[in-house]
Amino acid sequence: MMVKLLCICEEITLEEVQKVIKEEGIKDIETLKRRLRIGMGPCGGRYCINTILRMYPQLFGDTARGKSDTELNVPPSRPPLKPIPLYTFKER
Amino acid sequence: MVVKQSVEVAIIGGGSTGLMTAYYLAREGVKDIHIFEGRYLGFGSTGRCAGGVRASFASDVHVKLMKESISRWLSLREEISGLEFVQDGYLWLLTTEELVEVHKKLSAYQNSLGVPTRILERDEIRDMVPIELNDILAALYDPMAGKASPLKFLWSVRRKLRELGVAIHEYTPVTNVRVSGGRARSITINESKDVEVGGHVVVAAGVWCKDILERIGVKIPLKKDPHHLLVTEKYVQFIKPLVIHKETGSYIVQHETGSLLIGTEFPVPEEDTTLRYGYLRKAVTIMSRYFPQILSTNLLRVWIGYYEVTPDHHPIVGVIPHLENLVVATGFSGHGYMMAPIIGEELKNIILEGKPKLPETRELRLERFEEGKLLKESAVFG
Repeated sequence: MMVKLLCICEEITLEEVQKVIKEEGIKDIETLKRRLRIGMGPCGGRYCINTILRMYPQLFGDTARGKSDTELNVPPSRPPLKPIPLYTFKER
Repeated sequence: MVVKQSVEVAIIGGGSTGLMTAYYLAREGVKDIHIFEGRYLGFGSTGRCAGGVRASFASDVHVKLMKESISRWLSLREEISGLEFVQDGYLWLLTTEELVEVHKKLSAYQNSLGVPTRILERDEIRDMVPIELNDILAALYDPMAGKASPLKFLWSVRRKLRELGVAIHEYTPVTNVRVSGGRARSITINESKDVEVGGHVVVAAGVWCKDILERIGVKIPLKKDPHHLLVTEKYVQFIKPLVIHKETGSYIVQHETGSLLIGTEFPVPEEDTTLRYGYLRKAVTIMSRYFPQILSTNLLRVWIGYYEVTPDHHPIVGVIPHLENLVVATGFSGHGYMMAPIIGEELKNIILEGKPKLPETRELRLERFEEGKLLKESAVFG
């Protein structure tokens, strides 16, 4: 069976995303992120959150056109940009 | 969701306290409960905390309330599908003779209140966690404590409340409360629409309670104390209890996902949310001294959340003086999430019975600051 992975880091399928949006009345990306951990893996959301933005009308039944990232509640990027080994921060 | 002209219960704040209040009210059959959250559920301190839960405190009020809260956490994980509470304990690493002496006394005190903490020798610590002991002399172990993933809490309770018919209004900031004749009459949402409130208004908005209450001339002694936290990539499960390095106020906890959360005492100016490199250095340097295996894992994110701190590090819970239906719960000083179940139930009691059930909750009233009857606590860290 073919599976469409929307979030590779956390292995979340498109089907799971559509299911929680519908069944739990989720209307925004921030809540979706915390529900399924989308955007919380090593990619920091650079792939999955962008995919969600591209699919916004299909997922949330609303149009994203012309709306700012604030209006769409796009999760903020938190540092670091890429995962860094903890030994980088150890005092020697 | 369109908000109606009038509601029975209005809860301001979609964090753990507000959600638990709604839950216990709805379970008693109260209808027409509305939660108003300025952003998304858990935007404030709940969604940013490490998820530790313990009753091993140094004040009667905290110990007794947290014992009650832990018994609620144990039932909540049966009542709410998806909610996680793992009773893996807390381990306080002690590195000076003085700390060991203090914690022997602390353990005896906690035992006298029914919290079965005990002092562990070096060998016993090594049996419990894969640790490089270095300068550790002994540890205090609290088997009653545990951890509860805040994210799982948020979505599982959200789902449960929807089933129970509670209305959750996300992205709906409450900007004012209108009071007259000794009662809260309505709340203003989105700076424009007034919603009448027939029953109670609960202000459970964490650090933002201060702003809302100041609008109606109620002053509360609350400081915003920013605290950093970091999370790593998923790591093999290796550490069950939440481990605290007491001397430096550093801690590490591994949740079910495998991610490690590491915090440390790193004072910054009030309300300053600039992320500091020094925090990362301190947290990693101290924790890797005891758990060198963490050095090979990756830092994923770092963020800041607020402790909302009162002068005596104890919460403010109760009816606002001279406003019979306006209830506040804030000032948890870093312990709001762990206390949310018992505080939610006590707010339910205040609303339905007119007063809380436990004498300890009564001690948390706002008036204590004006009366100079401050409570005492010595074990705040992280």
